Amino acid sequence: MLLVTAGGILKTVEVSDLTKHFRIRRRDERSGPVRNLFRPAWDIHVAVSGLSFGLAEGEIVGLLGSNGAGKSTTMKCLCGILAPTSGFVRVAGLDPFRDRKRVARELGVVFGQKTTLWWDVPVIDTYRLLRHVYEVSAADFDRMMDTVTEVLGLAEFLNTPVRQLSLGQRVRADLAAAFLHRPRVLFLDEPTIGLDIAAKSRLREFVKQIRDETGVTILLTTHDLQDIELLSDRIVLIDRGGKLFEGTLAETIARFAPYTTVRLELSQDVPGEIRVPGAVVERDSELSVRVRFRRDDLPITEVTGYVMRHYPVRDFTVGEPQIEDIVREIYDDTPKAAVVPKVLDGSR
Amino acid sequence: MTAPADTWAPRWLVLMRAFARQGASRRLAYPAGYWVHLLNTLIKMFGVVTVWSVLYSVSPGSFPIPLPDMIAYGAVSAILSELLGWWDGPHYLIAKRVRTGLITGDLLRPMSLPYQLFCLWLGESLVVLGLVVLPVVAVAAVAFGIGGPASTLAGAQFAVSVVLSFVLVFCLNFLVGLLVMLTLNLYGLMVLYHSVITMLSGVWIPLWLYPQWLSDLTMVLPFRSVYFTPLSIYVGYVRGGDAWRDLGLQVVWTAVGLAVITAAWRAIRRKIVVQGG
Repeated sequence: MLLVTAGGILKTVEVSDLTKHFRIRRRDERSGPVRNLFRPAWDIHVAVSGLSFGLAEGEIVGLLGSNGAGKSTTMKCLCGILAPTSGFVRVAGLDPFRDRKRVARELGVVFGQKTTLWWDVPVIDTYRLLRHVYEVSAADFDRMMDTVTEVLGLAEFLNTPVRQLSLGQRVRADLAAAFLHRPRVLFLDEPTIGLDIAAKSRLREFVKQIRDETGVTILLTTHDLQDIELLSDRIVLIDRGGKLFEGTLAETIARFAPYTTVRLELSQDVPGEIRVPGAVVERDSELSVRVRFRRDDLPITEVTGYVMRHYPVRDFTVGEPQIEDIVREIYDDTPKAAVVPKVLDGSR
Repeated sequence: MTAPADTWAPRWLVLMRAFARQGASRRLAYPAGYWVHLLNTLIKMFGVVTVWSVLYSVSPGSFPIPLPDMIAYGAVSAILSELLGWWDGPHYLIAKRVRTGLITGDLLRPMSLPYQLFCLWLGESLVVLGLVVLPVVAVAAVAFGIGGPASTLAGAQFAVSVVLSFVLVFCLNFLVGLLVMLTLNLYGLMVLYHSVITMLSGVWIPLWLYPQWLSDLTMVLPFRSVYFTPLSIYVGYVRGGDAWRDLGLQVVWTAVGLAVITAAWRAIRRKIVVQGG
């Protein structure tokens, strides 16, 4: 079942004006420990406030934000573990909190930092248990096990207790567990955290492959920007519980990193100031210069042409704007991020 | 979504089997733990038997039942307390899983949390029954000459009563687990719970030794049903119509327990704070 939103767009996952508050016990220094015992003071912590976004069927969307931005809380609301304070979330048209069991059948979830596997018993035991929990027939189960063991390379540790697995093995095993019942929606919460490069690329390949083969809808949170670049169709940037931006990678870069930097290496020192019309020039050393300009205002060929004509340029490199730069800017927090309008229209 | 499972059994039974198996293999995962457990149970039984023998020889008049019955009461309660545990159990599991955030994994499965925990605990308890309780019962019968139930009927009533106790103590443990979830305070609650059970259930001290007012108090609380009912039926202290009345009371408490955990779990889910990113 798909949900038809007001705009008539079909959404498999929908987050609408989601707000989640937590009550946190406050240590009140002034009133003293005894008073605290009888009349504890509480603070309201706003984890998510007014967040909205959606995923169409078969989309991979990356949810990006610094620690404490509200990513995991949003995920937990979508899984039906936490109840929203206000607003609503829908997965396959259902309210995950009220319809937890039905939604759970449509869902596969991987928390990179936690395992849903049984700690003390071999990996295969968890899969056998999940087969019963999700009512997967023996034939489907065998077929699925063949696929996941091959693609994720599980065969070597299927009979090892989970507590003895390496992190990379464990996350792979978790991913297989999440996908065993062929869910329509996958939530991957920092799935590549702590993995080495080989394990990361293996994981990404698996995710891409299952999306292409089964059309599963995937919501991904990560701090690894390569995950985002290689996997996501779209990203949702959140900060302090609210949405900063939503769009494709290219759109995000255009919006948050409108500048291109050309790095010049001169063959000889140029006396006086170096000027490029419409650009900011910074001189790192006698022979090294950086030219920064807005891509929209100034074609790059114009900049490079101008400097080649006017200065003794030995070599130049064009610094492509990186998603890293954007995220660093946002993660760096207050001053710069505050310049960016807090709520932006995804407007697409 | 509804792939036809290749089995005739209803879903609840399939799940019970699967989770019980999981619980059993969890319990069997650490062999050293098993041997310690077995030894501990033997020592506990031996200790209880010794204490009652001494107390009985000091003041036989304080006891409404003969010494062999009193020893049976003590030995059976020591063994039963391995099966009807209130220290290790679902509440401990909940507390541990809430603290580490692993509870999220349990809540991601399309089945109720109380039922998952019950089936796991059932599996663990079946292992304990087979590998700890039965060997210790054999030792008790051979080494201490501890007799069987007062009559065949008492034996049957005892068996039913233990099953009811098992469900009831699960409900109590689960409720403690929910309190732990709310307060995020395991240790304090466990100590309190431990003293309530030891004082009011009859597990260590038979309730007939209590002053009237305290004995009356236990009548209106569920804890008496957990230990005193099966034990007093076993030794024949309670029999006939009284035994049926106590069993009936146990049924009522168990039903209340199940209703309360269902309602409480529903209410508390909203307030859950899952720890950790």
